Amino acid sequence: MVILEARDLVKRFRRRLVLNGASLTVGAGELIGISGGNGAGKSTLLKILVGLLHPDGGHVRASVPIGYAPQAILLYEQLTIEEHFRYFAAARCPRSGWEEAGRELARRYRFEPWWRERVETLSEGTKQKLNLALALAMDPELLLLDEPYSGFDWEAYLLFWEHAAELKRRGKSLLIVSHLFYDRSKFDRLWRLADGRIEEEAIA
Amino acid sequence: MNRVAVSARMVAQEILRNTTAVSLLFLVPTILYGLIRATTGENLVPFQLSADRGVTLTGSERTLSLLFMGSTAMCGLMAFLSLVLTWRPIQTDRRLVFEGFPPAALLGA
Repeated sequence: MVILEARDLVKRFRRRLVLNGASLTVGAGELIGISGGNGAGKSTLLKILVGLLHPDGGHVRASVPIGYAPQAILLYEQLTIEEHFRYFAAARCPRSGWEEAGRELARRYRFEPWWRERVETLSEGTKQKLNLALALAMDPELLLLDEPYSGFDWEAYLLFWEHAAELKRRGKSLLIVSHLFYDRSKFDRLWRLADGRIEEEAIA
Repeated sequence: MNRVAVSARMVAQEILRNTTAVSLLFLVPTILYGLIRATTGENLVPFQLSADRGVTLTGSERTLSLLFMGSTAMCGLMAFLSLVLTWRPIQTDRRLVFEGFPPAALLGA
């Protein structure tokens, strides 16, 4: 079952054509990777898929709730980790359960000791983990992750892939953007973004 | 969960933890009050209200200065607080809105 579909996406920044007819479909329970060089338009593509940018052409259709972790760390420096989970939980208005879900993610990614610490005091790696965890907290059906492990140490990197495999087993879909993938066998499909278009790549 | 209340609480936390903003909120009125105390006396000053030009009123120089400078300080501090709020990370606000937070609730807070 297709849960996200994008057709013929076109995006220009002034005269620079970033996306030139990019199309993709994501099915339920799929783990997909998109690679591409610096400036290939990977982050632009993701922003269009989640609705943060409007395409100049083409359309996007999503049939499930989406979680999005941007490449840049987007957090409130003066708020604590706990307050971030509370704030983001209020976005989707769950009456309860946000604290357990947040703490579970904080335990999994090993940042629970800083639960009541302000973000400004955290290391960059911990901020990156929180940036990712906020996208995971509401347990969305589809996750769009932009360079999710770029600031991770090796342990956190392994924890991330363990978690990704678990989410996939539970039927969640993940679309991961990175400029390079170390282990291609983890993916169901791999795409490469080049010249504004998406091409399928061999996994092996 | 009341979203406006949650958002207002978070914005208040952010301002209260901004030591520069909080310090200035206390420092600016204190300096103004000190300056007025140092430069004015209790001499009576006659004045007329523009709405009622026929009547001459009198007030102490210090009281009138405090009234005038108090209003000015209030306006200045409101402008400063507004500036502090515009320094908020707009991109993070946009992320919150993407997650489903109503923009009206964020603006209302």
